[in-house]
Amino acid sequence: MDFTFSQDEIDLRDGAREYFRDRCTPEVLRKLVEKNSADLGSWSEMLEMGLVSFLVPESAGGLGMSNTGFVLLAEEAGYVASPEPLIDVAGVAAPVLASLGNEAVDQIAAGTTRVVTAHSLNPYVNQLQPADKVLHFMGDAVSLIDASDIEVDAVESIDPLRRLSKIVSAKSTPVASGDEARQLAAAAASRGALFTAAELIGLTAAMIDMSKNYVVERKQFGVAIGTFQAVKHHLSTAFTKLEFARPVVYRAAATLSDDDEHTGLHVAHAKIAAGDAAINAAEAAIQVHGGIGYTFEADLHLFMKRVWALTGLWGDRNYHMNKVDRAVFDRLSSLGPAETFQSAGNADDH
Amino acid sequence: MHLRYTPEQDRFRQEVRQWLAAHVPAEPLPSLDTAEGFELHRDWERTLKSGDWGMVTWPTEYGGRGCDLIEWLIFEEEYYRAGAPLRVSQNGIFLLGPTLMEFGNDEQKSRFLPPMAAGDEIWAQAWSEPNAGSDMAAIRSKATRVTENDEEYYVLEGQKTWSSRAVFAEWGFGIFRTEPESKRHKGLSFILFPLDADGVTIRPIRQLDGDAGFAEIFFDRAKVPVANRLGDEGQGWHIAMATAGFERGLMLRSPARFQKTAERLIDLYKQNKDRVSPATREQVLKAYLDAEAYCLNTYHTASRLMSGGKIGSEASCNKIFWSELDREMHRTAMSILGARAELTGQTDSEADSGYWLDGYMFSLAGPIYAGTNEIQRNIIAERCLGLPRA
Repeated sequence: MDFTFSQDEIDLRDGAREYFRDRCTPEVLRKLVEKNSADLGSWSEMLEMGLVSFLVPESAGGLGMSNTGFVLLAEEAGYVASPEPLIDVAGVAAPVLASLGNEAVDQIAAGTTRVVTAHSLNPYVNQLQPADKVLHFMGDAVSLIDASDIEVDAVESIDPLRRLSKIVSAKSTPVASGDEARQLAAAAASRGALFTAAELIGLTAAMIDMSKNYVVERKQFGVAIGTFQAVKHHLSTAFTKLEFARPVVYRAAATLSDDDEHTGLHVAHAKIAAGDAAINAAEAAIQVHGGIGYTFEADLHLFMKRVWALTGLWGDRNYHMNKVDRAVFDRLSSLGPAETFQSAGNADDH
Repeated sequence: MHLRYTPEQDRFRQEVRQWLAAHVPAEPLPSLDTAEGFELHRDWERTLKSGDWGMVTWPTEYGGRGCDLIEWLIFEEEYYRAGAPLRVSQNGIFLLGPTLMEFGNDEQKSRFLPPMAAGDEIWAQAWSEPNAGSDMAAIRSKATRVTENDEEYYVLEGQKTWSSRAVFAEWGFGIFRTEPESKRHKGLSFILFPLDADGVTIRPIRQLDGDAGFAEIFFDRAKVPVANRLGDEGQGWHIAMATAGFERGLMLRSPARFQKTAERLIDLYKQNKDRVSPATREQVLKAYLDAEAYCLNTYHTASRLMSGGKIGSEASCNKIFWSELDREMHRTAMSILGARAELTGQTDSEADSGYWLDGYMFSLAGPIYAGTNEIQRNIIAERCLGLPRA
């Protein structure tokens, strides 16, 4: 029983943190918004750092790292509100393609193509560029489709750094069908929900930090508003929810590859806990910012709007709460003390 | 990260489970805040000691088993799973014990820890005073150093209040002003005193449930040897904060307690699901998830401590989380019970209403004791987030 990250995971996280916070600053994001662009142009750099092929097996040219390690990367990407589709490509599409032995995974690792996802849980594709491919999970088929073979309508998100497309029609050739396709779609959904939860954790931490900085600077009644208990308590509550959501997300990452009856429940819990923490932090953040928080002049809106989008992706709160409901009332035979983790004995079953 | 128990941990769990199955009283004991219940709970502590289960994390020389934190959590899970009695010794084993381990000298450790683990000496805490609640640094009770027949003593004067277990316990611990004119956090010392000493008067206070769970303590020139001081003179505040850290951090409320409550709440909901609203169903699910989250957070912290980390001000988050969760769960149960919620359980055997009513009342104390949640939120804001003090 060990809840700590490996030194490798920590080192890679630290490297990614330094890179993201240097490359994707709020100033850079504001400039993109002013130019009406959502393309940070950092894909080749992330590729070079190994972030894109983080979960791709070493045999296919990747780093062969763990889901727990990728959760830390997703947190860092969330902390800077990176608009790049890293979670989609590296967290979902690449490992699913790798499990199929599909050659597109080599192209992702080599940087010759990007594969974003379309999934029945998500009504829109984000950040689809002309040279991309789409890994398309619909019903009983999984298809890999060139962007040029897809007809899309653009739809507008309130988040200026998301670029959404609604697929109108596509010329698809399935790479998997029937039960296999359904399993792949479920695996993709688990990955998407888990890493989106991690991204939400990062966004939550960022909103708490920017609020903290603001209430130390902003003076009213002659003092920093951060001295007022009413202001402090909003942020303390947000911080507490963050502290208690994090281990839930880490547990879901550590047990994702078990792929057993508990996986769906663990992922659902992670998405709910991270989403609730993020919404709470966003509301606390705008409250302590006051009027400036309601404008494009503060950075907060970029983070808050991302939270609104991500809480609904890869299964919204209702979807995941229904999963918890089925587990608690129909499936789990025991759920009191001593049932949170598996015994060593059960490990042999896997 | 590896979130499975080891075969050794599984074996330890089986050992605890078997021992508890053979020893836990079949019927619940009367409230530990009654004279009869207190002694029955003390008997249970002695039974625990007979199996060396008094305080598993302590070294064997002090009556423990030298277990690590994961084993302690396993022990706690089995303890609540078995429905074993509340720990009447909790102020001692969970709060003073770890404090003694860190700040006590060898004589103090061997004098006080073994009888604490055995239930032979039950401890009460004595922090608050009538004018020093959340503002604990305002305490005025004093300890004046005197020499009589070549022996050094402290003479205790003043008043403490909300002293849990003081009505029936043997010993108390608290902080007193040893430096006369000292202000606030300075000049305080951490002193252990027998509750039956001359000059110590206990006045029981009737709590919400009608029992005398805590008391006022009056000191009228009560004399205790200087050897009863823990740590250095003037170091009292620092030591008390360490004790409070244990209290808010891992030890006082292990996750199993809340997971057991969540499990019972799910059962209560199932029995009543045809007549309660869908909103209640979501509250029940949230209780389950939050109790799980508390468990995950605790194992996460335990792993961090076992690999050399320290517990800091984020312990305040724990205290907020479990106390508000506990109140939430019991409030949900009260709403499910509806018109039966007011029943004490003494006359109605069909509903376990008394259980939830008692729990609800006690859950209202959670956000108040061990430092109110308002104080915890100030601590988080100032120490974890770095916001300025008022």
